[in-house]
Amino acid sequence: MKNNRNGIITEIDYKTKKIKCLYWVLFAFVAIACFISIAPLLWVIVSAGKDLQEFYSVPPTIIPKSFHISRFAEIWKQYNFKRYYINTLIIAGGSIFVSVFSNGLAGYVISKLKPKGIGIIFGLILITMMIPTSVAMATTYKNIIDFPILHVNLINNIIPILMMAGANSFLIIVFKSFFDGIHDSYLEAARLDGCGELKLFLTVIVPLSKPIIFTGIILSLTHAWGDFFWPFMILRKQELYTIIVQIYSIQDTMPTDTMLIMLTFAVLPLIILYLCFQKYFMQGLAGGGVKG
Amino acid sequence: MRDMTTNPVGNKPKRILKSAGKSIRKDYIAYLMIAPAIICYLVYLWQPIFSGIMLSFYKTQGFEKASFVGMKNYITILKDPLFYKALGNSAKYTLWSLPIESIMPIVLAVFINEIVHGKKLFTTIVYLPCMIPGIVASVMWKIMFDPSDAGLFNTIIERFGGTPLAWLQDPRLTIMLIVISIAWAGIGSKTILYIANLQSVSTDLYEAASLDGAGFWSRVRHITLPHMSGLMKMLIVMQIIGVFKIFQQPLTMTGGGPNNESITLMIYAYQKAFEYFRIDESAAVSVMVMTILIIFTVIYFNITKAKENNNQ
Repeated sequence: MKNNRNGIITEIDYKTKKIKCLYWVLFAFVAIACFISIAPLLWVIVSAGKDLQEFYSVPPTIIPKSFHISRFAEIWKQYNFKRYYINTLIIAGGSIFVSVFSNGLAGYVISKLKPKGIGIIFGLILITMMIPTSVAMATTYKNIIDFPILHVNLINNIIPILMMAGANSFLIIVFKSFFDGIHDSYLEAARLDGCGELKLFLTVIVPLSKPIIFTGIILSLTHAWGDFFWPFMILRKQELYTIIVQIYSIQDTMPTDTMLIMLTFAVLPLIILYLCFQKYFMQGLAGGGVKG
Repeated sequence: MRDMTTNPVGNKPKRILKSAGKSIRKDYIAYLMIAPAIICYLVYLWQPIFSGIMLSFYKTQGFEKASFVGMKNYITILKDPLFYKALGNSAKYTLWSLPIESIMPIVLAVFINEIVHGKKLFTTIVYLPCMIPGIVASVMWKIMFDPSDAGLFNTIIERFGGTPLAWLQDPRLTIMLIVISIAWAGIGSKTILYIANLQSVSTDLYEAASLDGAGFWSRVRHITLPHMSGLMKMLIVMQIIGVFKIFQQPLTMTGGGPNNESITLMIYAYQKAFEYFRIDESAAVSVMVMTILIIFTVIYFNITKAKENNNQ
């Protein structure tokens, strides 16, 4: 075995029988934890494919005997899931754009340009990070049904959802810590060459920021996909529902077999996305310690 | 966005004036760049929070102020037994979630860090539940906790000859089960943070300890845990903050029931605003929750600062 242990158990330890035993006990513990992590999801997806006769047989089978992919197609058509996917994708697309644009620029300004008064703004941003958007729910709702200054009602409009995506403190911090990692001398050099601030941003910073922008896209996408409370409050017409709002609204009226299929529809794209771009999820999580 | 600045090269004004002008223009561009974020924050966070604080001292008509009533809304809330129920439930949520959601990630991270076989696969799987949207996870657990004989857990219990449980409908179990469903979705991200933190422990330390004859557990106690203590404090404070934010999981799984057994402060504020249309009283509840959150946030930032200073 290669020397690839970077934990508490050293290579020499592992040669003793007692530690070897301990290692496999730890291994079993982790394996069980992983089973608990993944089993409910597997159960949902696998049971969703049971035929109805098996689904409602008594006693129910835990490990299913049948799997019918056609059940998924049926429910997809019957409940017009294409509509909810499209709605969700429109909101996700808009959120990604607004979120990366607004939070990315904010992160850059806080990290690099530091105009007067930025300390107060950053302080306010940090404090609001800890306060969930649903805390001031009544007054936030008021600003939705009666947009300040313009006095328009934005119920059934995606603008409030996009604007909420544009005020994401966590993402601002992710961007800020990335820009903190770019050395100031880099910018000074460009400025001495007579490069204006905007040109500097567009030609020097943006190309450097590709990895963090991608992290931002992934984080905004997953957030928009799973967002519940405000889409639920804002999108009142059923033809505008996102997948999550639809699932919440019908959860008490649907038979379990249909529900499981709908849950599968809601998670499958996310799981695939995660398996493809795992690195970016983890980096986003660690607060943006992404190195170009 | 276009480059709207004029190129200063070629001009020959006085040096000081030029740099002053430059810094003003630099600030102006900076404000322009941060403006979208500030507008979003103002409309959907700062202004609502501010006007919520104001409204909590007024009697409201719809969403408008009607008359100043001072602390009356707060007194009404403080006299409401349901408020104390919600507050007490927060304590219960904390009590269950601290051991489950704080200790498990530490144990898992230390163990996963030891593993050589399939470490990457395990990390991937452990984080997977964090990808699942909150509502989906809640509905999924609700289906598994189905109190009828057909529910997954009741099926399993019956197979081993036990008597079926009422699960979420059982007032003694509700909060614990909701906490389990929240923990299922939250442990992964904390575990990943701890694993990342563990990468900075020097293996030399362990080797030296091993030469001194320190066993596995004493190495954990004297090297690993002290190394993680800063992050632990941060995550525990985050955890407590999280408890006061609990909202959509009980809303989905029980609606706050049975008989308000799982109601949280946020659900209480939601019902006040959107079921009883008492905007003023809902605002008062929100202000109280905010105050609690801000106190913990200050504690959190103090710990973060202390941690950063330690690292330097």
